[in-house]
Amino acid sequence: MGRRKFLLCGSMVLLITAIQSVAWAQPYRVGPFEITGFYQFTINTATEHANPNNVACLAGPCYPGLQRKSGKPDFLLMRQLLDLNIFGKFSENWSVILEPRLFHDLTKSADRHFRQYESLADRFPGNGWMLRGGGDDFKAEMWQAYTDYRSGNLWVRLGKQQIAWGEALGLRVLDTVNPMELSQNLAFDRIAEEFDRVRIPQWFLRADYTIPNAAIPDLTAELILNPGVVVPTLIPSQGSPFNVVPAFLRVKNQVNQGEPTVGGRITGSIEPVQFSLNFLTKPNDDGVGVFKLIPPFGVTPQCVPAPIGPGPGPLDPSCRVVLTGHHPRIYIVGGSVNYNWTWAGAVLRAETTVTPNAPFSSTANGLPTKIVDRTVWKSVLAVDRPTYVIPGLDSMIIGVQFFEIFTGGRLAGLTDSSGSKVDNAVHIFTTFLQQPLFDKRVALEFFGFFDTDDGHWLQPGVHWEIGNHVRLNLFYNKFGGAEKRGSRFGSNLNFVNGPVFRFTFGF
Amino acid sequence: MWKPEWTRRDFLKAAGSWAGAGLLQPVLPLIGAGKSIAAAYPEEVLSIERYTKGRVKPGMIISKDNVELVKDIAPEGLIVELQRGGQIKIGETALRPEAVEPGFWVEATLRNKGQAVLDKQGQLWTKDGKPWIGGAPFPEAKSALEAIWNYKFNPRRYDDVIGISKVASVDTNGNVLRRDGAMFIQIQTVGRLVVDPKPVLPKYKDEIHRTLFSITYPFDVYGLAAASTIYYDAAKLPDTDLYIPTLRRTRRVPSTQRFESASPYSIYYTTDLDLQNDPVLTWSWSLAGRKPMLGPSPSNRGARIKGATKDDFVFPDTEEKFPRSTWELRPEVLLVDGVPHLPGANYTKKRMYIDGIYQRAQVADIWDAAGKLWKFIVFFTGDTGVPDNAGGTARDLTGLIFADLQRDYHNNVSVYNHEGDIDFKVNSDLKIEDWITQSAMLRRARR
Repeated sequence: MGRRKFLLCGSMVLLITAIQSVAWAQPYRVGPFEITGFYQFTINTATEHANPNNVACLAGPCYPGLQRKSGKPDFLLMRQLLDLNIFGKFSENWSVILEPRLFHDLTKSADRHFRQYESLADRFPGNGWMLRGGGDDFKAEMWQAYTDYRSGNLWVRLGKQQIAWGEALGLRVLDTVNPMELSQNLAFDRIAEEFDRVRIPQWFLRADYTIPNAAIPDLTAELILNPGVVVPTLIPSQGSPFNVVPAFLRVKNQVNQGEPTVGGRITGSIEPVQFSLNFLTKPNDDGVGVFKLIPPFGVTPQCVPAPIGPGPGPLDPSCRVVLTGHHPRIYIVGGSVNYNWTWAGAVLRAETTVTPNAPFSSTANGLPTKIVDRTVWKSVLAVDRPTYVIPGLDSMIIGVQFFEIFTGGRLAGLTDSSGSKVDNAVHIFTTFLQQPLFDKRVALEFFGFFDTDDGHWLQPGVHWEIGNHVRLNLFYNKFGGAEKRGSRFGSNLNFVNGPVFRFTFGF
Repeated sequence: MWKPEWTRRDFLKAAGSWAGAGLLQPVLPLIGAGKSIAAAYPEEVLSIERYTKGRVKPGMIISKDNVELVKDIAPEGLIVELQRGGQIKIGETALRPEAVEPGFWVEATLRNKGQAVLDKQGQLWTKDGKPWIGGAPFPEAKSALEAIWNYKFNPRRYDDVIGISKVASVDTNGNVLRRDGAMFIQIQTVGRLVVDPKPVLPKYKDEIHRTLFSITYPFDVYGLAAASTIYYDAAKLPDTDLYIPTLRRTRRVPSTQRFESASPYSIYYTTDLDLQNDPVLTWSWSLAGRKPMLGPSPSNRGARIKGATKDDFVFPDTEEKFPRSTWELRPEVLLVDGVPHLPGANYTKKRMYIDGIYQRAQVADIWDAAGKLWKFIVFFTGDTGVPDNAGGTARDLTGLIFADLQRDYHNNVSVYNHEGDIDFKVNSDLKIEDWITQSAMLRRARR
């Protein structure tokens, strides 16, 4: 470990030690501010094989491709993370929340299979508003920064914030306001934490007004507005352990700033039902690739071998087909509902959206040449029911979801943002089980995601709470099945199979 | 001659006095006249020294060395605690209900006497079929159900209350394994006595109260909030909504997980909050006895007494396994046994010790599925020193003990008047719309 990295590690440890020494059991307070947070060390080892995307060159597999050394890497992720939550309450009306985060990626230092790559993206159009900076390994960012104003029935939240809508967990149906940061683990972190660490906070005005009325308790109208500070889905760098873009492709994201995100919803309760009606329009998070014959060839110059051109030719990973990632505006309407089924001791949930103009790539001769719109209808039905399964133990939390995606119109020749063919209907079941043990100090967890086209993601795990400060997690990601398309969870992702160990020290 | 096992009716027979009310004379007129209730009880039960024939006196320390002296008058759980090293001090018997009850509550109890009825199911109503209008509905409780309604209708007695507490989880060796912090709010929707609108919040007339817990530490549950809507229909389970910071949204969850640890290391279950947190008619209740017993003294003001030490026996702000407290002879305690009828219930019985003068429970013993004594719970109540916005100072919780007697493990809870940005307040016109709705939880999120 170099001197610089040693200093980075040391500074993180010193910082939490300083906070810890004065805040051994309660939030550390400075004036009106309350500070909590955690330091987390994550190790994710690889058990399967090398990432095929890193060796997928234009003329076929190339080794070591985008890696430094061929072969299965030792680690998928080795990372330090310091995450602070600073809550300041200035009056009953005003408060502020700041959430700075420091990342230090040790993967490349610990595993010589990898070349240098940018661990967390901050080099893309619109990055300035991410409030993120640093080098390839270390990044500091202001993850969230917003102020709340409350007065009577009015609530306004202004700033860089996450906005989560909907009933479904881990499935992005209504929860699509913010894009995702997938650079470091493709969102395959502990499933019980959902998207909290990867849902990219954006600059929003969020205004809620609870409408006084006698008929519908808590009837609230919400408006959200991002004036056009657009951040796309951030995917792992090519060459990194989680890379999902084949080495032969280069996607130039064309993210147009100034395109607003506007949405709103109405929420309320008509017991025993709670509901929401939602609307959202925004630039599509995922880049939809289009190939254009960019002079001279629509490929990088390195594809033209010497002596005709400057490059080593199509067997080299520097030879790439260039796609432009477009983010056309989409419109989403939908709603959600839950029903408190007291007789069964369960809560039933449903959620649906329709996107009449979801963008897809239309391909010709294997190359995406233009964007076409299709209607996409997504629905989720879910049930949560704690159940006493093992006599003498706490109830097991059982959550089951059925997720269905219909894509309308003619789909021949269409591909999605991952370049995969599109099915008319996709059916997915998910199940989440959590069995607490020892007075809830330990929890055995299992998440299963089953695509009926034979794809699955399984995540068994253990969560252990030790006193106030220490949390240990051990879980395993397992992808498999015959389904191989990039946008589906099947064996195409089995290169990320492996155990994840997390040590968290909170304060 | 008074015998420890005598009931209130035995008083009546022996003294040949007030029919119907029992005892030497009715208690309520004495309370109404602002007098001591001493005249209503035989002298023997007003003085622990007399009652024990001089063996136990105020000021005496009871420990494992002399626990036998109080064996016949102490809750079973307290005996176990003392045998294991706990210590209590014996205090003088408080003779005015205002020692632990707000004055306005006592006045409402007197004013509304005789107005309460129970229907066939045991549901509480006024005589004209409306939700109860405040105060203890049955000040001279004749049945277990009446006694439990006296407590459960509004355990905190206020129209609204906001408070802050810290929990120390202490193992058998006295090691503190975990500390938790939480803010608590209760807003009463019926039987309101101080804050307008009274007695009912019209929009919430089908509810009895709403509560909110918002956790302030440890770090991984910081900002987690749980809102409960408790219905007036006492056979109906509450609704529960959570704000889960990790999910960044509120979420309705089933309310059935009532007989399991509320959080890691916690002895208390959801059913144990407020001593008895399940709706009244989801349990069946029987009166096991009525007799003088030891009960917590209102002098246990806990963390409200700055600088108090263990030698003060006031349940000081400490992380010791057995915080010391003062107990006194209560002249009349109703032993109300409850049996749960809810899925997952792993209690065979909870005995609530309801004070016949206060109409409030401060102590409970719990037996497990095998019938073995399992838990001992104490909710100390005293003068907080904070104005109750009704002309007095607030009598409210000053400290709690949840003891797992089988594992010798404790959750000791201290309650404060101020912590961080939260002040303890009662009758301060808290609005449900500002605190205990899904949208309110979202806009007050700390994370």
